Amino acid sequence: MKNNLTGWKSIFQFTLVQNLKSKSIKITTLIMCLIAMAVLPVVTLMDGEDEKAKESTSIKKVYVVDNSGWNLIEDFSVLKADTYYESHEAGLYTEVEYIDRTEDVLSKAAEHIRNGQEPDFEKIYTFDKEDSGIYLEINHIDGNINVSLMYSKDTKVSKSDVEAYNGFVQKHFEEVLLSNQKVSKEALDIIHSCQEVEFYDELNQDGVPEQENKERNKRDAYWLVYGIAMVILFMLAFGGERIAMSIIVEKSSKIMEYLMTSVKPMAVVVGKVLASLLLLVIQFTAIFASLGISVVIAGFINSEGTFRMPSAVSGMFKSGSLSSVTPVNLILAFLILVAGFLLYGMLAALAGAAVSKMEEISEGVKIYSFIMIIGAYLSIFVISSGSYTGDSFVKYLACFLPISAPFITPGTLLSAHLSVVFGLLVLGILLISLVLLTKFVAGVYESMIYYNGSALKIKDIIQISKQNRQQAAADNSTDRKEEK
Amino acid sequence: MSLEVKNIVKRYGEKTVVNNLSFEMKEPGVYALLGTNGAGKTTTIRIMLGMLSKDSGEVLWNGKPLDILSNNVGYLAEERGLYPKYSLMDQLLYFAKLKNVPKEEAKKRIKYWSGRLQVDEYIYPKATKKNPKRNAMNADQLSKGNQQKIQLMAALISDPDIIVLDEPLSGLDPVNADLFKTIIREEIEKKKYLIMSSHQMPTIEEFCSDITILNRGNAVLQGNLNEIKKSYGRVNMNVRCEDDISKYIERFEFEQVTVTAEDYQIKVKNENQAMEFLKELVNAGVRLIKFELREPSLHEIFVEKVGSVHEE
Repeated sequence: MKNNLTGWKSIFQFTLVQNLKSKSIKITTLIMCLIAMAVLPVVTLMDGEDEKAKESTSIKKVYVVDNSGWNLIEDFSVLKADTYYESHEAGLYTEVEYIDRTEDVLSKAAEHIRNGQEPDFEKIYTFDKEDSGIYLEINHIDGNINVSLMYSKDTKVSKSDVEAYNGFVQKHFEEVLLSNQKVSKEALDIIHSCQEVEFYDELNQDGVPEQENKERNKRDAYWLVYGIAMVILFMLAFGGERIAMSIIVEKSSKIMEYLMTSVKPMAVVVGKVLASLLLLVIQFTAIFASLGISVVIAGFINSEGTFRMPSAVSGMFKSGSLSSVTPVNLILAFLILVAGFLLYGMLAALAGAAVSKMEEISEGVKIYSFIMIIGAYLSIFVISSGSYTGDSFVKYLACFLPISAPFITPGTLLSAHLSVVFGLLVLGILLISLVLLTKFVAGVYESMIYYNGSALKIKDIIQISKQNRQQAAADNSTDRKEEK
Repeated sequence: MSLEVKNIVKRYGEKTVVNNLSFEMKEPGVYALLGTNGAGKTTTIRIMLGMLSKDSGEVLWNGKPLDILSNNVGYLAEERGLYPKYSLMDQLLYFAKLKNVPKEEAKKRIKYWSGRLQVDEYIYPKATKKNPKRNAMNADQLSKGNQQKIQLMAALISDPDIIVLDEPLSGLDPVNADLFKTIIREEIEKKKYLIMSSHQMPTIEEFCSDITILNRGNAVLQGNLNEIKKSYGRVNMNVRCEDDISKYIERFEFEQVTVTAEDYQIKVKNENQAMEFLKELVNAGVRLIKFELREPSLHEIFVEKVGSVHEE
């Protein structure tokens, strides 16, 4: 049985094969894959340089000037404990000697004052050229504790080492104070051992406590939802113009009339959109595969032959972010994603159908970009504001609106912030929109086959839509008369 | 088999571009659609092929609505087109596939037609030392005439029952025009139904048995070309002589006289008037070189019909 879609497979196959043969597409994909492959190793190498610098330090002595009145000098020994060190700075400062210079500095300052002079810090904080020490001054003023580090360029101590040590002290000075306040070693160990606080506040259907760190999951789900939305936005922005160009190529090369003796406009539109979308998926699969290779390469850099997940990646794949993924919502999210891609593919095809010359393609794509930006911004607003976790009107608006649903709904479904029933409703709305839009695009395409004017505006497209409906009504009426 | 166009009407707003047009091809052959630019020829063809919607009327093939998905139709459009950057072989295989021609059969037909139309060097380029595996060229590497040959190949690759040729010879040099004519003649011999639109009247006269002359969407003249010519009678007289015959022409009060460098083209009322004029010249001892009495050419009929409508 032949219908309006007859022949779409041939058009799909031809468009896909010819695009895959295209040098420009091959080169673009290759460049993007190479960039994706290189990004993590480069970042890791750059981090590695910093880490390598931290494998040793030129600081051997820290002269403590404690003006706090709490006599913290003994407490600095806690900074030599292994628990304080990140893996990349293990053992870096365990050999550092903390020397109390409070009395020395105060007496020199007092002497200056006695002599009727202002304290000259260059003479008070003295450095030996052969010295590997820095000064650490603690002041307690108006309830605030200030810690300052001072070093001299004339010594063996390098600025980068001082900066690294500064970060270390900032991170761990609280432990020095805890030690000073007689928090026991055991208590300190307990505090140190408690890396994360987890709550048991929900029971599953069997009455068994379900471990869930709500705050962490909320944060991780944010990145899942946001990440999916951004990837889809990037893909649609990248692929939209190509789909439009693929649609216009027959019109601009005057081959449309020949095709129309074999197939109907609907088959051309469907075949070309599907081929362009599949090409987009192939390209992004290659890019993501390159990112995978990038992760593997980066994992082996700076880890002496054993794989270690790069920190940039490990933070994104915490167990909590995927805990709500089930086969049902995964399949549903995938179907919504596919329907969304097809919907946007048809919108891009509409952009292509609305122009008659290749050089006017950017004019036509404006409509597509405008709709995509509205959809994407609405979704990003809902995600960024955290509304996607609640039951707000704007969340459901973004999830159900066909132009924003592809961005936000897959992520909210996967993070269990949208129920499966709602997900099915969204899928239904998307499918209905897709069918209506496909018919409309085919109608515009058919109406525009012999149009050689400038790009159509939205009101022109609406006008064509009305004419198509009238024409269809007239055709149906004629058919009925003939049947009688 | 028959091809029938019944009462086709096409309007754009208030403007009627095809007005109640009907014609029929009961037998294989070539039917000509003639008309000035913008007369509605291409619109009629597009409506016939289902590319444009019609306000009323129908197009029947063997009594059933002509459907491009079910019926095998070949079309050489007035606005020629090929994918400029795609290989010719890929394009032709694609067009064949759209027409449901199996791949192996399509390859055979491409081989045949490329030889027939002398474009095999572009579709099967010879390997060179530099390029041992040369693929078929892209369309943008071909001249306009050769592109037109590829388009004719695309139109004929499915061995269609109905062939629509819109200005098939425009832009061709005389050698290639003859090649196209030979192929058209072969298709006629194969008992195909051809619809041809052209401005080249001699070509139409050469091939077409039936014609429709369109003017501003209206059929101003329709029927069998020979019968149309016969209906006019042999009223076109050409006289070439060495002497001045002006005074004889004045005496006969002919409807229309055109004097060229070589001869007199005179429109007579009927054959008897022409014979009397000839007798007069002979009796007067005028030295005649040529005397011809013929039916009007299609060109003359066309100019008369379209011109008279324009005058109205």
